Amino acid sequence: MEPNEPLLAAVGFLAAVVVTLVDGRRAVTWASLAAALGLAPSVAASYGADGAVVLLAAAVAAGVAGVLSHAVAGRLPRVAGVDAGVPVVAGVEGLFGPRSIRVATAVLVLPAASWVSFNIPLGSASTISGVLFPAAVVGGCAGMRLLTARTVLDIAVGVAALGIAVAAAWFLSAGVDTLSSAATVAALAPGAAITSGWLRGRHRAVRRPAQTAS
Amino acid sequence: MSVAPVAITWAVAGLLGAMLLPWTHRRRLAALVPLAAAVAALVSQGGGADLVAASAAGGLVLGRPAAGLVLLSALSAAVCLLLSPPPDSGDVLLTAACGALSAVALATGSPLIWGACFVAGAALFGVRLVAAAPARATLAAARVGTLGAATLVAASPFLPVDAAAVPPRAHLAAALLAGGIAAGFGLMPLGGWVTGGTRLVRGAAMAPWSLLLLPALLLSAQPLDSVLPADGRITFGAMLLPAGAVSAAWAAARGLGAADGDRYTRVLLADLGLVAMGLATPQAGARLGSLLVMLTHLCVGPLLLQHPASAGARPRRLAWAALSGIPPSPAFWGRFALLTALTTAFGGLLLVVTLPVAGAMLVIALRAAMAAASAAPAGTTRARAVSLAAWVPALAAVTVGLVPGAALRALLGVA
Repeated sequence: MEPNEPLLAAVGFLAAVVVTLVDGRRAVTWASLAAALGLAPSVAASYGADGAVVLLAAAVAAGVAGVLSHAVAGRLPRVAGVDAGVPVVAGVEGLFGPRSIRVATAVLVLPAASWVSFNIPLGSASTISGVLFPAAVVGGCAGMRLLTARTVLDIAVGVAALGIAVAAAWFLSAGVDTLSSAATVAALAPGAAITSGWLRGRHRAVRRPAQTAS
Repeated sequence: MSVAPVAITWAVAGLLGAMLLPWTHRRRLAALVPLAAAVAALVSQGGGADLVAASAAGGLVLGRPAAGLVLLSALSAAVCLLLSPPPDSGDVLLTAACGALSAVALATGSPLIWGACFVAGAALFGVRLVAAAPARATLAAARVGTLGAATLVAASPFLPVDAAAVPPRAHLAAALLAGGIAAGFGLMPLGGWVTGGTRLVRGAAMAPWSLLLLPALLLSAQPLDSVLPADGRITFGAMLLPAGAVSAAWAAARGLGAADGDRYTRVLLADLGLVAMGLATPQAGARLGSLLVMLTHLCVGPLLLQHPASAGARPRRLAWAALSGIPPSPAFWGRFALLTALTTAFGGLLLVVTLPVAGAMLVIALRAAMAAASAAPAGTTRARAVSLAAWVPALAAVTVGLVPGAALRALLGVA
């Protein structure tokens, strides 16, 4: 059965939207899951089910490892440091917030990903075009997330989504040592989740008691 | 020889060092972590093929130049940790992680793993810098470094680019590779984080980039020009040649007026600009020159990355003399080979940039050597081991300068 490319592209686009917009304590987990779910159909259609399983396994591992590392770090004594979810540099008040900037940069990714997927053949002998769009748009949005990062969590989200997107592209291009190489690069997602979970637990912000009105 | 023993030694020694040294109040012994990796690299000296990550068929085998570089980087990191104030667990872990990742990046034949190693290393380094000193410059290090490495990994699905590939693919792969290298080298306009970052953190905190990731990127980028097809080579050179020239000129000009603590960073960036220009040509001289410049910075970096007052004046003066470019300093041979190769490949017009850059670096080094005496506070007492270790980088650099060909052959297996 021929894969439905517009449908695969739409699923990839939705994943890219989540990667661009997601925030909060579990952002790495949600971004990893969205990227894997958005790219798994393309990989399953072009490479096979085992490729899709690798992507989904990486996303699930990211979710579990992030929670575990946060729990372990939370049991250790708190030390001074940067909370992964707090902006490193205080931004000035502006008309557009960080999410708007992310959306604006992600919009630029769409035509670029479309051009690449329809003009650049993949792999050593392939002339297939069009199949790369979901991976290109998710990877591009992950790159934009890195470019516009304000917190350590943004960096972790970008790295996690990038790892899964590049692994999907590797499956589509059938590069050398396809399965093992893609699994290695997809492991960036759990790695990013562990790092951000650890930093959040270790350097968690001290919650001040609410001030009562006198 | 497989890279596994070296990578595993880096990882295990790093974990043990990060957990045990603070507990036993022996953080000064953190230098043992890279030293263990150096021993592992020494006993697993490889004889495999040269680095062709962009076109090889896979595997995790350390070639002779890669094995030599892993050994040198580990030794350099060990001396850097010895000269630094006692590092905390995070610095030890980061050094070990970047050491393991750089070794795997040098050994792998898969362009995907090669790029992924630099993504992980750059992200960890950036996050560590942010944690050590939250500021715009360190956040830029995390952003630019990781995004630059991401472009390397993004190029991997389009590699290998054989001659039959259609031009857009060759141009795209080459542009992505050149962009990643420019970000990794801190070329203009992507290098602001290096100068800003080194003002905030020094010594062991910068070592993972300058002594581990950067040399690995430099060595593994050497064959890229020869594996890309003609179309890709044009794009690759068209991006790196002007970026390198502008970066070298800017860093050298800013270095002339830089404060004592900022001078080394400017000289490093200027040299990286020249090396980036050298990547734009397949001339053998450019490769030899790049490797000599890398060896020079691996030698003097552990000393000059530290705060100026952290080591004695005499070893610092000797290190700056080795970096000056006066013959027979190792920097002279490296820059001479690079400039000759660039002139041969692109004509004499480039001398308008490269000669003033070399001259400016000579002036910067002489000024720094003269300022070294005033930087050391009188009456400072240091451990004898630290005082002796401060001489190691300077003397190693002088040795490389006296026998550059033999040093390249013995250390990296390059004739």
